[in-house]
Amino acid sequence: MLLGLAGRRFGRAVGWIAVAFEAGALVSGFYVALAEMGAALPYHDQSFVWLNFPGGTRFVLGTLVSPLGALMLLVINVVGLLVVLYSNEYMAHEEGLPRYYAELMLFLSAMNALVLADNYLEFILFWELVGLCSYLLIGFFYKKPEAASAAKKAFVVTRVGDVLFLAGVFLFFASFAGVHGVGPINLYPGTSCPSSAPGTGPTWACSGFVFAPPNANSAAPFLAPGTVTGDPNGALMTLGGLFILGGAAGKSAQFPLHTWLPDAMEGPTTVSALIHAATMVAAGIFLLAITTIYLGFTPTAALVILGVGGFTSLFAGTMGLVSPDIKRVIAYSTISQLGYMTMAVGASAYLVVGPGAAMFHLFTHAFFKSLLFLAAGSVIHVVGTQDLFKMGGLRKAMPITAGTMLVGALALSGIFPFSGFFSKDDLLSLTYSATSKVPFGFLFFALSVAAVLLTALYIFRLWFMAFGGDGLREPSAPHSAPHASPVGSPGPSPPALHEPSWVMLAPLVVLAAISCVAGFLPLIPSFSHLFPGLSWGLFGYSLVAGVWTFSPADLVLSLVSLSLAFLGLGLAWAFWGGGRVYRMPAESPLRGLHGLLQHRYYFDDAYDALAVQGILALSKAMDWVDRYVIDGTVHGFEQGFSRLSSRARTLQTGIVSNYALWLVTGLLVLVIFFLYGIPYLAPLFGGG
Amino acid sequence: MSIPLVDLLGLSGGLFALGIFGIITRRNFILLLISVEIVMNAAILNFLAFAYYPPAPGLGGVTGQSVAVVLVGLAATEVAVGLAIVLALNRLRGTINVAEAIQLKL
Amino acid sequence: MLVSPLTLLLAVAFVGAGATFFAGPKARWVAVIFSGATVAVVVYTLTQFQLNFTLSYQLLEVNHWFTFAALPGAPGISVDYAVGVDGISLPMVLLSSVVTLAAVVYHWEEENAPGPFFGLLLLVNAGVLGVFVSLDVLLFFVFWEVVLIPMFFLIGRWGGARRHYAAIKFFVYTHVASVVMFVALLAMVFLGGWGTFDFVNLYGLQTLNQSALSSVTQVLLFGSLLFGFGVKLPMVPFHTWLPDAHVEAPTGGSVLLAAVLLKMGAYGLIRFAMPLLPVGREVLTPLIFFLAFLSIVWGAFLSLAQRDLKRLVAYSSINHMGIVLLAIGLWTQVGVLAAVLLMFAHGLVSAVLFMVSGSMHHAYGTRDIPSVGGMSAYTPRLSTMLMVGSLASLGLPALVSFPAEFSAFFATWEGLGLLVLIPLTALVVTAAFYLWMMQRLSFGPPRGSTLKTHDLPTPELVALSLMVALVVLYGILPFLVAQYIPASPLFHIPCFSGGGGVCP
Repeated sequence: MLLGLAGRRFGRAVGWIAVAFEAGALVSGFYVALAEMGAALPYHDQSFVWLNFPGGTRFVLGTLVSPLGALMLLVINVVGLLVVLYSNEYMAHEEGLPRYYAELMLFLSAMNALVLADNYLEFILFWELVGLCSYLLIGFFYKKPEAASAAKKAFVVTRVGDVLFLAGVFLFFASFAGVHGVGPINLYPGTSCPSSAPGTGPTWACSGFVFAPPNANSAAPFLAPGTVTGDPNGALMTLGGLFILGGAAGKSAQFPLHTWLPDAMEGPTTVSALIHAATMVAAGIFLLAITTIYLGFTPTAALVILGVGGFTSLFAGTMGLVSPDIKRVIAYSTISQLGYMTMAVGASAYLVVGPGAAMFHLFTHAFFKSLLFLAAGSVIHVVGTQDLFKMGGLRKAMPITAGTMLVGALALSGIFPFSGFFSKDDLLSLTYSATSKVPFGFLFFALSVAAVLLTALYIFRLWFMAFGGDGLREPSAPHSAPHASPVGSPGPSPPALHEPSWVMLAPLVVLAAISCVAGFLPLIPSFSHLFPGLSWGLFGYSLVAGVWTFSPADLVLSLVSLSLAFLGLGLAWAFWGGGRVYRMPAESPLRGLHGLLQHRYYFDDAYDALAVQGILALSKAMDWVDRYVIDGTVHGFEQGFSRLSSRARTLQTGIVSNYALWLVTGLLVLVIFFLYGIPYLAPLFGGG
Repeated sequence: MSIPLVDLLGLSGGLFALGIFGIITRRNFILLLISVEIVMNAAILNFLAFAYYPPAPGLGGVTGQSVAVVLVGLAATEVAVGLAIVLALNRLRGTINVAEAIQLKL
Repeated sequence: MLVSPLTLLLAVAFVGAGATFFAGPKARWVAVIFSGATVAVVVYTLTQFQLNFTLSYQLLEVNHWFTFAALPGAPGISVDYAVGVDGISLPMVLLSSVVTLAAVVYHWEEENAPGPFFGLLLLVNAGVLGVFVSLDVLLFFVFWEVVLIPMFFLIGRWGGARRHYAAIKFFVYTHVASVVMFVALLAMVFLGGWGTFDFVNLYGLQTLNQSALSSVTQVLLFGSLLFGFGVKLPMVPFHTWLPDAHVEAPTGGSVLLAAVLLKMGAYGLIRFAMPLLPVGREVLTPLIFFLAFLSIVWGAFLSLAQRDLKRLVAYSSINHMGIVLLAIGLWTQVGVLAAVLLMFAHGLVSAVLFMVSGSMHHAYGTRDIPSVGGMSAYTPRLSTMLMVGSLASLGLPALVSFPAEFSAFFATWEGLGLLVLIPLTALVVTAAFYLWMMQRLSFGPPRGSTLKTHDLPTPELVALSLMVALVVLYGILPFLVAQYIPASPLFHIPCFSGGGGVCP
């Protein structure tokens, strides 16, 4: 499963080989996940010692199948298989296909390994590898300067996060040093933890929250859930948590490090669907989710996570409202939804419950978001542009694409009974339950509710603009890829738009089907283990530990969220439905806001001006110092010596008497030195 | 009657200083040679003085005296070579002023 | 008397250098045979090395050479032919021989006096091997100087346009450094009362040393050694010879310079300065840290400002060797392990990058980054190699630098806590300049002279593939190198054993 790199020389067939490999990976992924559901303990293997440090520290490449990891395995491989299948037509006319598939398979391997990592080091290792694959795939159209630039930006920005992540791991290591044998770089310290109830398999609580901070009595390492005792390294832990958040923010494009994700849309749409919607960006959430064990000790960090997530969800949603590019709208939506998940993890960590709500949203989001991307890809494939303002009326030509995308949009906006409704509902109820306990809790709750409205608004804006109306607003050459590939297929260029072949439609339909039903999955008992801490809810009723309970607050919440989603839908219809294109009047007082949004709050410009140009200028200045000050000093020595030597040459008069004078002077100096200097200096040098 | 060591060393030091002064100030090659001889003789006198007053057992007597004899021979040889150089210099350059003979080549 | 395989190694290396020098037009065959034989002997040495025997050097051979008597009657100081390896020198020996083989293969088509060229390359290697295996201060110094002179001729004879300037600068700089180093080493031997130049049992002498050398002497000697080895390393502000030497040197020369010569400085610090002068070390450790951080940041930022690919790689070497210096300065077991690992990693990676720079010059006639672009389209292999090298250098997992850098940062964290953020931040800059360079060179629309470009010729491809294969191999399985390192008597010094690293 970890090696899908075969077949660089199989030409056209390479895509199908990749499909076969990925299908194999899916089967084994399912097998592993099912085994995990049935197993009493997480499967854990630490046999491969990667680096052995003197002093007892060991770094191990182990395998750990945790509930969260098993869930991620399912997501990765299902989406992966469908995307690889889809690529067979979508990418058919590009050059460098073996490279594409090799990178894609490398990504899938690394991603699978990432979620099976059993310690932070291994996590970082594969974390960077998926980052590399993301870099390579964003830059797949390497002849396009924008693509190369976006790839670089993605790598550098996530690198900032990675550095913070590494520092965070070190901090955790410091906070927990000596607790476990191999070191706290282990993700799941409690490998021998007892199963909560006979026959129900492992629970999150077992492997997670219930272990003692380092100062606790080692004879009783497990405490009851939620009774976290004082942490001697509180400041370190908090800082560590914040650094880890930095890493997750880099990968999952959260607030200050979000700028790379919209640009990453320069990559092929398939890549956007797989990496930048479903899997890699979710790795940041996954990181936070598995780290909640530690984050439970540091409410401050949890609060910051909550804040960053909540802010990002609204912040990104507003930018999605004005973007003319179909892929970027979905990208902003991804950032916004990831913000939701971040917020949920923060709330879980703060309330010391399992991160199941975030993982549930991650799970459903992966499917409907890759569905949206693939559907958008199918539109782009057929229409040949990414500009929403040029599209329109596509529902007639492409009914299946339109239908599946509608499913995706409904799921994203959280409309019953699509999967997004359930996950978003659980998420909102979590943030609502946090309002009373978290400082500014109500603010975060308000943010998340406002984002529901925004989500429905921007995604239906997209749908109406693309599929509503009567026809293309600005027909362009169909069937040519949106990117300027020099050997791009001219194609038969049929005048009529039509659906792509089943190779592309099948994944759409499958994903749409999953998006419809995925919300009910936690009802299956063995699946519910994969969402630790989740209380699955439906209109006020929620399922906690196998028992249905009713809470009126949850019912109100569901109704509010649903009505907000419909409100958003309605607003979108009012502005953009039926072929209307709302353009903001020039004298509108909101014009300034519109510009602000279109310039992405000027974040990119600010980063460019401050960070990029500033660092470049600094490096130029340092180069100048290097050349003229440091090297200048060296040359100064050189000139000094040459001047000194030419002066010294004049001493060589050739007059014997002068030489004799120097001789005598030297003699005198030596005599004085030996008589007075040595006795004075000798004690200094230890007796010589 | 024996001359005290201090007097001997004083004479030797005086001769040495005189010789050094001569070496540094004179430009005439022959005067220079004479100055060198004076320095040499100061050294010989030193040897003889310490031969008479041995600084450590076993260093007195014939040791210093034999060195002095060798040095006398050495000085004679040196003067012979020096005068030969003076003659050669005089023939080649027409002068025996060392300040004008500042190059080792012709 | 038992003959150590290391003696055989030195014999093969020196005979090879001599034979190649006078081999004439067939020199490349002679060179490749002898450097191959060197690698073979090194591999044999690896098999003979025992991992769990850590109390002393291994594969020892000690023969009395002559006695150095300062005064007649005084007890003489013995000068020996003493060779041996431990876990610290063994990776360096391996690195040096492999890199030399790759450099010889890379220059297969060299037509400018191939005999002397390959001969000097091999002579550099022989000297470096001597430096790493000799266990006698005088022998060490002799080999140290043996390295210098062929490198001077390599730069001065086969170099670029400003080769004379660069060669003189290299020579004067490193020679001043080695004189200072030599005087300090001699002073250590004389004042420390070793009675021998042989340092087989050196670390046992440490207590003796501590009493024999006063604090002032130790600080002075340590400062001199730090300067002497630091120039070689190179550490800012004594680094300016490096970019010039690299830029002007022929590719093989640059490769050896970066991959091996720089390591000699770090090796000297680990071997002599740090363990033998504990008081000096403690006094000057803040200075080491300061210079290390300065080198790291300086190297990273200056790389960002460079236009010439070779200069860029040269400054990135300064950055990496700064991390090595930092890891050494921590003076913990993990730190030394990380330093050696990083030296090994940097040797392989910088070899790749300098070879790529050379190939770029062959293919495009320039190394100026802004004037070339779109290499992926015209020279895909070269572009791939550039990418692997850059990614390895910026510390990507599964490539050799990652475990090394990770260990170094881990050690830094253990030793210095949050100050680790300084090198970590520099890591972002490192990523930025490599990616920016790749973006300009490899991607985008093709620019630069595209008429006469050709992709990598076979010899260059073979050499690069060899290095890249090693980069990947040791990146995935870093313990293949790391397992050797703790098998060193250094790790048994009393004040060093706890991993805490501060002598009482």
